[in-house]
Amino acid sequence: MSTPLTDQDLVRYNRQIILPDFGEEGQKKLRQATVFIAGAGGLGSPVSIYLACAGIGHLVLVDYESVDISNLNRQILHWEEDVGEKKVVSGNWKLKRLNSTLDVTPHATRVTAENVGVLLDGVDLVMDCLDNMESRFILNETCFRKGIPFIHGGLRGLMGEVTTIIPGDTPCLECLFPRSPERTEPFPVFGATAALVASLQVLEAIKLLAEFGELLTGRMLYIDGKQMQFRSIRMKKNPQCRICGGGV
Amino acid sequence: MSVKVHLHPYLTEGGEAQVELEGKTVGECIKGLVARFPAMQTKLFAKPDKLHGYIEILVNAQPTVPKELAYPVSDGDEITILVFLSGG
Ligand SMILES: [Zn+2]
Repeated sequence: MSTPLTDQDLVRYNRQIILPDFGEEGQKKLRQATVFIAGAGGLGSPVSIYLACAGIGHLVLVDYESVDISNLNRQILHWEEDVGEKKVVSGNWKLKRLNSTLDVTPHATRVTAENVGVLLDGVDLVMDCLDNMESRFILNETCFRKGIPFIHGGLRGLMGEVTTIIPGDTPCLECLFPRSPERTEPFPVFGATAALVASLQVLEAIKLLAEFGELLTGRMLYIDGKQMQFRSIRMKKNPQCRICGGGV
Repeated sequence: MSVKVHLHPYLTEGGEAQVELEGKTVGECIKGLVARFPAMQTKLFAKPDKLHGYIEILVNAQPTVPKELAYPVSDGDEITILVFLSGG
């Protein structure tokens, strides 16, 4: 079912197609993929931009918020002229201009237990770019039930974390954090920290979709930008997990 | 009895990332940790015996939730304290 790349695709994506691990086959896999981006903020901005650049065929962008001036230190998908506009409207406009060959489906809604099943219909991969735990837990659970890989990113200040969750194979978010952490908004953050975490999430997405390289599965990568230390921590599934462990 | 404890940068603020502690349970080791670094008390605990929701403790990569503090440890085990960074 894979249609050949166009001449324009071969030129546009040449610098990634010439990577032997990736090639034209990898590019086709990206073009066939539907990636769900939960959150069009600090992480969602660079995540959606780099996925669009890389040639992901279909992006589903979900965020219920509107652009605020205080977002602009990090949310590079939104500009001064977008203040007051829905983030998915602002994002859709930029992404379509960046890469007109893509389909972008914007949803100006919060991810809830009620709508998550429909939102994730036909989705191959979920990028966790959220800033709250409630929606993350809802997505984590639904991804597990539907067998959709989930690339988690999180940040605070100069620190960040990334892990790739493959339903059934790796620990899920609730294996580690079954209690909903207290809300601590607003959290401190630099745009560059968000960009760093987002870039790592996108690298994971590309490798996962194009099937090459090593993923951050069963590992949490911690970034400490203040001391400039990166560390990955091995994690196992929790047999008592409510979602994936058969516990209660 | 010596247990290696790996600390998240949120806890250490640039200090030692790894310390050796004594104890038969995670709770005993954490007690020793807080005795050594009193500033970690409020970062780890919501109440005297209740960890914050954003803290999770692994022993040899195994999540220990829900009874983290009672989880037994022995010589040579490795404890990792995770902090959930929920911003995005
Ligand atoms: Zn789980």
